[in-house]
Amino acid sequence: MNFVRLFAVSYCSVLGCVFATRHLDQLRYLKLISPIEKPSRMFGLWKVPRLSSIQFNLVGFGFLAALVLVVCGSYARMASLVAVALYFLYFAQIRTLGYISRKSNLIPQFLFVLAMVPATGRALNVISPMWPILLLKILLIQIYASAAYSKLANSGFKWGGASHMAKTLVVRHMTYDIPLAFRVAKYPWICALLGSIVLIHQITFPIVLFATRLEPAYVIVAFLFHLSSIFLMRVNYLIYQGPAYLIFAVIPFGQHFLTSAVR
Amino acid sequence: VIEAAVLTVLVVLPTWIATIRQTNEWPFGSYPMFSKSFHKKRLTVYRIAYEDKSGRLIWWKPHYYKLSSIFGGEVKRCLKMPAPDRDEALDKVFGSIEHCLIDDPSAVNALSVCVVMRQSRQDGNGNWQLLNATIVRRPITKTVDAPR
Repeated sequence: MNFVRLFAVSYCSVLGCVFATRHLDQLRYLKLISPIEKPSRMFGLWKVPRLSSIQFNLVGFGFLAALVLVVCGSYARMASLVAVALYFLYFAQIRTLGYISRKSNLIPQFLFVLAMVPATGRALNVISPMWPILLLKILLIQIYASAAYSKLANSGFKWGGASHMAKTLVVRHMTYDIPLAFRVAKYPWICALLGSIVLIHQITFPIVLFATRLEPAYVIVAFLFHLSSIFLMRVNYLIYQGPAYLIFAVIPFGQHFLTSAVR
Repeated sequence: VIEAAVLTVLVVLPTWIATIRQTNEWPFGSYPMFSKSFHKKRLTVYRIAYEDKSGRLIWWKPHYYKLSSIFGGEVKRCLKMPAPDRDEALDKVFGSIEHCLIDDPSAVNALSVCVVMRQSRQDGNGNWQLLNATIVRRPITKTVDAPR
Protein backbone atom coordinates (compact mmCIF):
# COMPACT_ATOMS: atom_id res chain seq x y z
CA MET A 1 0.00 0.00 0.00
CA ASN A 2 1.30 3.47 -0.93
CA PHE A 3 0.45 5.43 2.21
CA VAL A 4 2.32 8.51 0.97
CA ARG A 5 0.10 8.69 -2.12
CA LEU A 6 -2.99 8.06 0.01
CA PHE A 7 -2.01 10.93 2.28
CA ALA A 8 -1.19 13.23 -0.66
CA VAL A 9 -4.64 12.60 -2.15
CA SER A 10 -6.56 13.08 1.09
CA TYR A 11 -4.52 16.07 2.30
CA CYS A 12 -4.67 17.98 -0.99
CA SER A 13 -8.40 17.21 -1.38
CA VAL A 14 -9.31 18.58 2.03
CA LEU A 15 -6.87 21.51 1.76
CA GLY A 16 -8.27 22.36 -1.67
CA CYS A 17 -11.85 22.39 -0.34
CA VAL A 18 -10.87 24.56 2.63
CA PHE A 19 -8.94 26.93 0.38
CA ALA A 20 -11.77 27.22 -2.15
CA THR A 21 -14.32 28.07 0.54
CA ARG A 22 -12.01 30.70 2.10
CA HIS A 23 -10.74 32.41 -1.03
CA LEU A 24 -13.40 35.13 -1.21
CA ASP A 25 -12.90 36.08 2.42
CA GLN A 26 -9.16 36.20 1.81
CA LEU A 27 -9.64 38.33 -1.30
CA ARG A 28 -11.73 40.81 0.71
CA TYR A 29 -8.98 40.98 3.31
CA LEU A 30 -6.39 41.62 0.61
CA LYS A 31 -8.44 44.52 -0.78
CA LEU A 32 -8.78 45.99 2.71
CA ILE A 33 -5.20 45.59 3.83
CA SER A 34 -3.15 46.10 0.65
CA PRO A 35 -2.99 49.94 0.86
CA ILE A 36 -1.67 49.84 4.44
CA GLU A 37 0.47 46.74 4.73
CA LYS A 38 3.34 45.14 2.82
CA PRO A 39 3.46 41.41 2.04
CA SER A 40 5.44 39.22 4.44
CA ARG A 41 9.05 38.31 3.74
CA MET A 42 9.77 34.75 2.71
CA PHE A 43 12.03 33.04 5.28
CA GLY A 44 12.21 36.47 6.92
CA LEU A 45 14.59 37.54 4.14
CA TRP A 46 13.12 37.88 0.68
CA LYS A 47 10.45 40.35 -0.31
CA VAL A 48 7.35 38.96 -1.97
CA PRO A 49 5.77 41.32 -4.56
CA ARG A 50 2.37 42.86 -3.83
CA LEU A 51 -0.37 41.33 -5.97
CA SER A 52 -3.39 43.09 -7.42
CA SER A 53 -6.82 41.51 -6.87
CA ILE A 54 -6.73 39.95 -10.34
CA GLN A 55 -3.25 38.52 -9.79
CA PHE A 56 -4.35 37.26 -6.38
CA ASN A 57 -7.28 35.45 -8.00
CA LEU A 58 -5.02 33.94 -10.65
CA VAL A 59 -2.43 32.77 -8.14
CA GLY A 60 -5.22 31.33 -5.96
CA PHE A 61 -6.63 29.50 -8.97
CA GLY A 62 -3.16 28.19 -9.79
CA PHE A 63 -2.67 26.96 -6.23
CA LEU A 64 -6.01 25.17 -6.33
CA ALA A 65 -5.27 23.68 -9.77
CA ALA A 66 -1.91 22.39 -8.49
CA LEU A 67 -3.66 20.69 -5.57
CA VAL A 68 -6.15 19.11 -7.98
CA LEU A 69 -3.26 17.79 -10.10
CA VAL A 70 -1.69 16.21 -7.01
CA VAL A 71 -5.02 14.54 -6.24
CA CYS A 72 -5.42 13.31 -9.83
CA GLY A 73 -1.87 12.02 -9.90
CA SER A 74 -0.83 13.79 -13.07
CA TYR A 75 2.64 15.27 -12.57
CA ALA A 76 1.84 15.07 -8.85
CA ARG A 77 5.33 15.89 -7.54
CA MET A 78 5.83 18.80 -9.94
CA ALA A 79 2.35 20.11 -9.08
CA SER A 80 3.17 19.89 -5.40
CA LEU A 81 6.32 21.95 -5.95
CA VAL A 82 4.38 24.53 -7.96
CA ALA A 83 1.83 24.69 -5.12
CA VAL A 84 4.68 25.53 -2.69
CA ALA A 85 5.80 28.44 -4.88
CA LEU A 86 2.24 29.72 -5.28
CA TYR A 87 1.62 29.34 -1.54
CA PHE A 88 4.37 31.89 -0.84
CA LEU A 89 3.04 34.31 -3.42
CA TYR A 90 -0.58 34.04 -2.24
CA PHE A 91 -0.32 33.74 1.53
CA ALA A 92 2.39 36.41 1.91
CA GLN A 93 -0.28 38.96 0.92
CA ILE A 94 -2.61 38.13 3.79
CA ARG A 95 -0.40 36.76 6.54
CA THR A 96 -1.92 38.97 9.25
CA LEU A 97 -5.34 37.43 8.73
CA GLY A 98 -6.35 35.74 11.99
CA TYR A 99 -6.72 32.19 10.70
CA ILE A 100 -3.60 32.34 8.50
CA SER A 101 -0.89 33.90 10.65
CA ARG A 102 1.34 30.92 11.67
CA LYS A 103 -1.62 28.56 11.14
CA SER A 104 -0.76 27.92 7.49
CA ASN A 105 2.97 27.31 8.10
CA LEU A 106 2.63 23.57 7.67
CA ILE A 107 1.19 23.82 4.15
CA PRO A 108 4.46 24.56 2.29
CA GLN A 109 6.40 22.19 4.55
CA PHE A 110 4.01 19.30 3.83
CA LEU A 111 3.79 20.06 0.10
CA PHE A 112 7.57 20.33 -0.17
CA VAL A 113 8.06 16.93 1.46
CA LEU A 114 5.42 15.42 -0.84
CA ALA A 115 7.16 16.95 -3.85
CA MET A 116 10.51 15.46 -2.85
CA VAL A 117 9.23 11.93 -2.21
CA PRO A 118 8.95 9.71 -5.35
CA ALA A 119 6.07 7.71 -3.78
CA THR A 120 3.78 10.77 -4.13
CA GLY A 121 3.59 10.23 -7.87
CA ARG A 122 3.25 6.44 -7.83
CA ALA A 123 0.15 4.25 -7.83
CA LEU A 124 -1.72 3.33 -4.64
CA ASN A 125 -0.85 -0.37 -4.93
CA VAL A 126 2.91 0.26 -4.85
CA ILE A 127 4.59 -0.28 -1.49
CA SER A 128 5.91 3.04 -0.21
CA PRO A 129 8.62 3.72 2.36
CA MET A 130 7.32 4.76 5.78
CA TRP A 131 9.85 7.49 6.54
CA PRO A 132 7.91 10.25 4.69
CA ILE A 133 4.89 9.53 6.90
CA LEU A 134 7.11 9.69 9.98
CA LEU A 135 8.68 12.95 8.77
CA LEU A 136 5.27 14.54 8.19
CA LYS A 137 4.22 13.48 11.70
CA ILE A 138 7.38 15.07 13.08
CA LEU A 139 6.57 18.33 11.27
CA LEU A 140 3.12 18.45 12.85
CA ILE A 141 4.24 17.40 16.31
CA GLN A 142 7.14 19.84 16.41
CA ILE A 143 4.66 22.71 16.39
CA TYR A 144 3.43 21.54 19.80
CA ALA A 145 6.96 20.81 20.99
CA SER A 146 8.04 24.27 19.84
CA ALA A 147 5.11 25.87 21.69
CA ALA A 148 6.03 23.88 24.82
CA TYR A 149 9.65 25.03 24.53
CA SER A 150 8.54 28.69 24.34
CA LYS A 151 6.28 28.27 27.37
CA LEU A 152 8.99 26.66 29.46
CA ALA A 153 11.66 29.10 28.29
CA ASN A 154 9.53 32.16 29.04
CA SER A 155 7.54 31.11 32.11
CA GLY A 156 8.76 27.73 33.29
CA PHE A 157 6.34 25.17 34.71
CA LYS A 158 4.39 28.05 36.30
CA TRP A 159 2.71 28.35 32.89
CA GLY A 160 0.53 25.38 33.74
CA GLY A 161 -0.76 26.98 36.95
CA ALA A 162 -4.13 28.60 37.51
CA SER A 163 -2.85 32.18 37.66
CA HIS A 164 -1.23 32.27 34.21
CA MET A 165 -4.20 30.70 32.45
CA ALA A 166 -6.67 32.98 34.26
CA LYS A 167 -4.72 36.09 33.27
CA THR A 168 -4.43 34.90 29.67
CA LEU A 169 -8.20 34.38 29.50
CA VAL A 170 -8.89 37.80 31.03
CA VAL A 171 -6.57 39.47 28.51
CA ARG A 172 -8.33 37.68 25.65
CA HIS A 173 -11.70 38.86 27.00
CA MET A 174 -10.41 42.41 27.33
CA THR A 175 -9.19 42.29 23.73
CA TYR A 176 -12.02 40.48 21.96
CA ASP A 177 -15.03 40.38 24.33
CA ILE A 178 -15.23 36.67 25.11
CA PRO A 179 -17.61 36.38 28.09
CA LEU A 180 -17.02 32.61 28.37
CA ALA A 181 -13.29 33.18 28.84
CA PHE A 182 -13.97 35.81 31.50
CA ARG A 183 -16.31 33.41 33.30
CA VAL A 184 -13.82 30.54 33.18
CA ALA A 185 -11.07 32.84 34.52
CA LYS A 186 -13.03 33.11 37.79
CA TYR A 187 -12.53 29.39 38.52
CA PRO A 188 -8.91 28.68 39.48
CA TRP A 189 -9.38 24.90 39.39
CA ILE A 190 -10.61 24.98 35.78
CA CYS A 191 -7.72 27.27 34.81
CA ALA A 192 -5.19 25.00 36.52
CA LEU A 193 -6.72 21.95 34.83
CA LEU A 194 -6.66 23.57 31.38
CA GLY A 195 -3.13 24.94 31.81
CA SER A 196 -1.64 21.69 33.05
CA ILE A 197 -3.36 19.57 30.38
CA VAL A 198 -2.10 21.88 27.62
CA LEU A 199 1.45 21.93 28.97
CA ILE A 200 1.66 18.17 29.54
CA HIS A 201 0.11 17.47 26.13
CA GLN A 202 2.54 19.75 24.30
CA ILE A 203 5.63 18.54 26.16
CA THR A 204 4.84 14.85 25.73
CA PHE A 205 3.33 14.86 22.22
CA PRO A 206 6.60 13.55 20.62
CA ILE A 207 6.06 10.31 22.57
CA VAL A 208 3.57 9.21 19.89
CA LEU A 209 6.46 8.86 17.43
CA PHE A 210 7.59 5.86 19.48
CA ALA A 211 4.31 4.73 21.03
CA THR A 212 1.88 4.79 18.12
CA ARG A 213 -0.90 3.30 20.26
CA LEU A 214 -1.12 6.64 22.04
CA GLU A 215 -1.75 8.52 18.79
CA PRO A 216 -5.58 8.54 18.97
CA ALA A 217 -5.56 9.89 22.52
CA TYR A 218 -3.07 12.66 21.68
CA VAL A 219 -4.90 13.62 18.50
CA ILE A 220 -8.23 13.82 20.34
CA VAL A 221 -6.69 16.03 23.04
CA ALA A 222 -5.14 18.21 20.33
CA PHE A 223 -8.54 18.67 18.70
CA LEU A 224 -10.16 19.49 22.04
CA PHE A 225 -7.33 21.95 22.71
CA HIS A 226 -7.92 23.70 19.39
CA LEU A 227 -11.69 23.73 19.92
CA SER A 228 -11.29 25.30 23.35
CA SER A 229 -8.84 27.81 21.83
CA ILE A 230 -11.52 28.86 19.37
CA PHE A 231 -14.18 29.38 22.04
CA LEU A 232 -11.99 30.76 24.83
CA MET A 233 -9.31 32.66 22.93
CA ARG A 234 -10.52 33.25 19.38
CA VAL A 235 -7.51 31.40 18.00
CA ASN A 236 -8.42 29.07 15.16
CA TYR A 237 -5.74 26.62 14.06
CA LEU A 238 -8.18 24.08 12.66
CA ILE A 239 -8.93 25.78 9.35
CA TYR A 240 -5.52 25.47 7.72
CA GLN A 241 -3.74 23.14 10.11
CA GLY A 242 -6.68 20.75 10.48
CA PRO A 243 -6.05 18.85 7.21
CA ALA A 244 -2.54 17.96 8.42
CA TYR A 245 -4.09 15.68 11.08
CA LEU A 246 -4.98 13.25 8.29
CA ILE A 247 -1.39 12.03 8.65
CA PHE A 248 -2.51 10.15 11.75
CA ALA A 249 -5.52 8.61 9.98
CA VAL A 250 -3.88 7.50 6.76
CA ILE A 251 -2.22 4.25 7.98
CA PRO A 252 -5.15 2.86 10.05
CA PHE A 253 -7.63 3.87 7.32
CA GLY A 254 -5.51 2.38 4.54
CA GLN A 255 -4.90 -0.86 6.42
CA HIS A 256 -8.55 -1.39 7.36
CA PHE A 257 -10.39 -0.29 4.25
CA LEU A 258 -8.11 -0.13 1.25
CA THR A 259 -5.41 -2.80 1.48
CA SER A 260 -7.51 -5.54 -0.12
CA ALA A 261 -9.11 -3.17 -2.62
CA VAL A 262 -5.85 -1.92 -4.16
CA ARG A 263 -4.26 -5.39 -4.62
CA VAL B 1 18.54 7.00 4.01
CA ILE B 2 20.48 9.98 2.69
CA GLU B 3 17.37 11.34 1.00
CA ALA B 4 15.40 11.05 4.25
CA ALA B 5 18.17 12.63 6.31
CA VAL B 6 18.64 15.59 3.95
CA LEU B 7 14.91 16.26 3.77
CA THR B 8 14.57 16.03 7.55
CA VAL B 9 17.36 18.56 8.06
CA LEU B 10 15.83 20.86 5.44
CA VAL B 11 12.38 21.02 6.99
CA VAL B 12 12.87 20.21 10.69
CA LEU B 13 16.00 22.16 11.57
CA PRO B 14 14.78 25.66 10.53
CA THR B 15 11.80 25.44 12.88
CA TRP B 16 14.06 24.58 15.82
CA ILE B 17 16.52 27.35 14.98
CA ALA B 18 13.58 29.79 14.91
CA THR B 19 12.17 28.30 18.12
CA ILE B 20 15.41 28.61 20.07
CA ARG B 21 16.06 32.12 18.72
CA GLN B 22 12.33 32.97 19.27
CA THR B 23 12.06 34.44 15.79
CA ASN B 24 9.61 34.07 12.95
CA GLU B 25 11.14 33.25 9.57
CA TRP B 26 7.94 32.38 7.78
CA PRO B 27 7.05 29.59 7.13
CA PHE B 28 9.42 28.45 9.87
CA GLY B 29 8.78 30.09 13.18
CA SER B 30 8.49 29.77 16.90
CA TYR B 31 5.13 29.54 18.66
CA PRO B 32 5.53 31.89 21.63
CA MET B 33 1.87 32.95 21.90
CA PHE B 34 0.67 33.34 25.48
CA SER B 35 3.97 31.96 26.78
CA LYS B 36 5.24 35.05 28.61
CA SER B 37 4.60 35.57 32.31
CA PHE B 38 2.44 38.43 33.52
CA HIS B 39 4.63 40.43 35.89
CA LYS B 40 2.39 43.45 36.52
CA LYS B 41 -0.58 43.28 38.87
CA ARG B 42 -2.78 45.13 36.38
CA LEU B 43 -3.29 43.56 32.98
CA THR B 44 -3.40 46.18 30.22
CA VAL B 45 -4.54 46.10 26.62
CA TYR B 46 -5.10 48.91 24.12
CA ARG B 47 -8.34 48.59 22.25
CA ILE B 48 -9.95 50.51 19.41
CA ALA B 49 -13.42 51.99 19.83
CA TYR B 50 -15.44 54.63 18.01
CA GLU B 51 -17.95 57.28 18.96
CA ASP B 52 -21.26 57.55 17.17
CA LYS B 53 -23.47 60.63 16.67
CA SER B 54 -24.86 60.45 20.19
CA GLY B 55 -21.36 60.38 21.67
CA ARG B 56 -21.64 56.75 22.74
CA LEU B 57 -18.39 54.80 22.87
CA ILE B 58 -18.70 51.52 20.96
CA TRP B 59 -16.03 48.81 20.75
CA TRP B 60 -14.86 48.29 17.19
CA LYS B 61 -15.44 44.62 16.34
CA PRO B 62 -14.32 44.21 12.73
CA HIS B 63 -15.07 41.08 10.71
CA TYR B 64 -11.29 40.53 10.62
CA TYR B 65 -11.18 40.63 14.39
CA LYS B 66 -7.39 40.61 14.71
CA LEU B 67 -7.18 44.10 13.20
CA SER B 68 -8.43 45.60 16.43
CA SER B 69 -5.60 44.08 18.48
CA ILE B 70 -3.00 44.73 15.75
CA PHE B 71 -3.83 48.44 15.76
CA GLY B 72 -4.11 48.48 19.56
CA GLY B 73 -0.58 47.04 19.76
CA GLU B 74 0.70 49.59 17.24
CA VAL B 75 -0.75 52.47 19.24
CA LYS B 76 0.91 51.08 22.38
CA ARG B 77 4.25 50.95 20.53
CA CYS B 78 3.79 54.53 19.26
CA LEU B 79 3.01 55.87 22.74
CA LYS B 80 6.42 54.69 23.95
CA MET B 81 8.24 56.76 21.28
CA PRO B 82 9.71 60.25 21.90
CA ALA B 83 7.38 63.15 21.05
CA PRO B 84 8.13 64.15 17.41
CA ASP B 85 8.37 60.57 16.15
CA ARG B 86 5.35 59.55 18.20
CA ASP B 87 2.98 62.06 16.57
CA GLU B 88 4.02 61.03 13.09
CA ALA B 89 3.72 57.32 13.90
CA LEU B 90 0.32 57.84 15.54
CA ASP B 91 -0.93 59.73 12.47
CA LYS B 92 0.04 56.76 10.33
CA VAL B 93 -1.67 54.24 12.61
CA PHE B 94 -4.84 56.32 12.84
CA GLY B 95 -4.85 56.63 9.04
CA SER B 96 -4.78 52.83 8.83
CA ILE B 97 -7.50 52.46 11.47
CA GLU B 98 -9.71 54.93 9.64
CA HIS B 99 -9.12 53.12 6.36
CA CYS B 100 -10.35 49.86 7.87
CA LEU B 101 -13.13 51.41 9.94
CA ILE B 102 -14.70 53.13 6.95
CA ASP B 103 -14.84 49.78 5.18
CA ASP B 104 -16.67 48.17 8.11
CA PRO B 105 -20.48 48.19 7.71
CA SER B 106 -20.98 47.74 11.46
CA ALA B 107 -19.17 51.04 12.11
CA VAL B 108 -21.28 53.08 9.71
CA ASN B 109 -22.14 55.70 12.34
CA ALA B 110 -18.58 56.25 13.51
CA LEU B 111 -17.62 59.91 13.91
CA SER B 112 -14.36 59.56 15.79
CA VAL B 113 -11.83 56.86 16.61
CA CYS B 114 -10.76 56.28 20.21
CA VAL B 115 -7.97 54.25 21.72
CA VAL B 116 -9.07 52.89 25.07
CA MET B 117 -6.62 51.61 27.66
CA ARG B 118 -8.34 48.60 29.23
CA GLN B 119 -7.00 47.42 32.53
CA SER B 120 -8.06 44.66 34.85
CA ARG B 121 -7.22 43.93 38.45
CA GLN B 122 -8.25 41.20 40.83
CA ASP B 123 -9.89 42.16 44.11
CA GLY B 124 -9.44 40.31 47.41
CA ASN B 125 -12.24 37.87 46.55
CA GLY B 126 -10.58 36.86 43.30
CA ASN B 127 -13.06 38.76 41.11
CA TRP B 128 -11.72 40.60 38.10
CA GLN B 129 -12.59 44.26 37.66
CA LEU B 130 -12.27 45.95 34.28
CA LEU B 131 -11.37 49.64 33.98
CA ASN B 132 -11.52 51.62 30.73
CA ALA B 133 -9.84 54.96 30.00
CA THR B 134 -9.91 56.71 26.63
CA ILE B 135 -6.36 57.89 25.98
CA VAL B 136 -6.52 59.14 22.39
CA ARG B 137 -9.52 60.43 20.46
CA ARG B 138 -9.46 61.59 16.86
CA PRO B 139 -12.32 62.65 14.60
CA ILE B 140 -12.71 60.70 11.38
CA THR B 141 -11.49 62.87 8.53
CA LYS B 142 -11.92 60.68 5.47
CA THR B 143 -15.08 60.99 3.44
CA VAL B 144 -16.69 58.08 1.71
CA ASP B 145 -17.92 58.35 -1.85
CA ALA B 146 -19.78 55.06 -2.02
CA PRO B 147 -22.62 54.29 0.39
CA ARG B 148 -21.16 52.55 3.46
